[in-house]
Amino acid sequence: MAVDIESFYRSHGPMVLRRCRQLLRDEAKAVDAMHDVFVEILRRKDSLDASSPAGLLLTTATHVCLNRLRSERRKPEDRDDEMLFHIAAIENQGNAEGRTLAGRILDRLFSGQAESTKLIAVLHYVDRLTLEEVASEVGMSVSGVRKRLRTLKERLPAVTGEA
Amino acid sequence: MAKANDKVPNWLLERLAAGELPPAQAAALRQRLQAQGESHRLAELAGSNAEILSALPPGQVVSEIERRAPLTADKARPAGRRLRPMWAMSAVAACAAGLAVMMVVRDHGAVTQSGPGETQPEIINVKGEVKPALRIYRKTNAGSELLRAHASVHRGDTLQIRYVAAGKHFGVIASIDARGQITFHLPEAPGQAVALERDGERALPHAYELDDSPGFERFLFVTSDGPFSTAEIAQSLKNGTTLPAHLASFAMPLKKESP
Repeated sequence: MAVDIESFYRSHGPMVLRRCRQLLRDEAKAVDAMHDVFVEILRRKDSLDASSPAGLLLTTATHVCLNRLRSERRKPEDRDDEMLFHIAAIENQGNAEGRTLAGRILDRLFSGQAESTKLIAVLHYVDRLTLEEVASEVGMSVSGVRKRLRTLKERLPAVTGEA
Repeated sequence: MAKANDKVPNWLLERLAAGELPPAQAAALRQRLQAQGESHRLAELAGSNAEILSALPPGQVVSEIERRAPLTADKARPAGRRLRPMWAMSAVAACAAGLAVMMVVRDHGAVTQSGPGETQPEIINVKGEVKPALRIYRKTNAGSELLRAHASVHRGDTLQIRYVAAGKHFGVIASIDARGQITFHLPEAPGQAVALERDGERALPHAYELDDSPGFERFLFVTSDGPFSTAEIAQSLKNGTTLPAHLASFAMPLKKESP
């Protein structure tokens, strides 16, 4: 897709910053992450679907922030924050660099979980979208979303909800 | 199924404001907002947009994005990196080495920050205050060894960088070689200084394999109590000028030798 980064920032930058603020809870880190979200968009511009830019940017912002939370050492501020840290710690297969011991253990527990599962978990457990809403956002069936979440629910502590 | 009294998630609110939701879903969300007396949230987004664009003007943000973009592309090519990220060293080995260092520091007493002629990257000054410092370990067959300032290193050596923030809030770790090429290790790409773990000795997530650039590799740990940008350091490293007064630095030069 063609990207005019300035008009893209004007139309969607504030939304991206709000998303980064919500997940990172630190203004300086959120601003830094927002820049990286647009860098990611520029890097992948040839393979992106421009039909829903807000959804694309919110998804990219979520992944950028999860990657940053993986190396954060601060104490979670509340339940949502704690849940984000747990989701962020899930390692993907084939991404071996920089794993902590805890990360490697989680990797074994969650082997094979894709980035989309992290997004599904954040949408349901942190953003509190219903299963139907999550399914619509990620383009899966409700049963597919439920199945992904069930795998996580068995392993994440204090997970509540309808999955 | 969402209930009428369920708060509309911010995610959906943003998508609604962007006009990306299917008409039926958008209408249902507007109805929920109205029923909850929260229609003002949409108007608040518009206010927030104006506020953010005023605080972070497009020109400023776009030039920063464009500055980062080619650097990120370079980073994506492993062969292009001077110092290749490796698996982090065993936590046990690194901790054991760190413990040994702490014992040495206590035995030898107080010294100052590193500089020319210094042989050991000590971190405790004459008043017993802990200072920000870097510790660089080289992987060995037996585990790891702490490198002294001006230690000889070779192509292929695997280095693990650890830092002691000593209470400082923000930091950047970078290195420059004899050819003037700068590599950022923390953060791993140019940007804002990272919020440091303020106590203890902390390892960077990656170890690094040294390349064959000749001469030296000079590591620099720059800290401050307030946010700052890697650009301030890059400029100083490139021009050989002193760092701005609000930044403190700890240097750790290593000698690159042929195998």
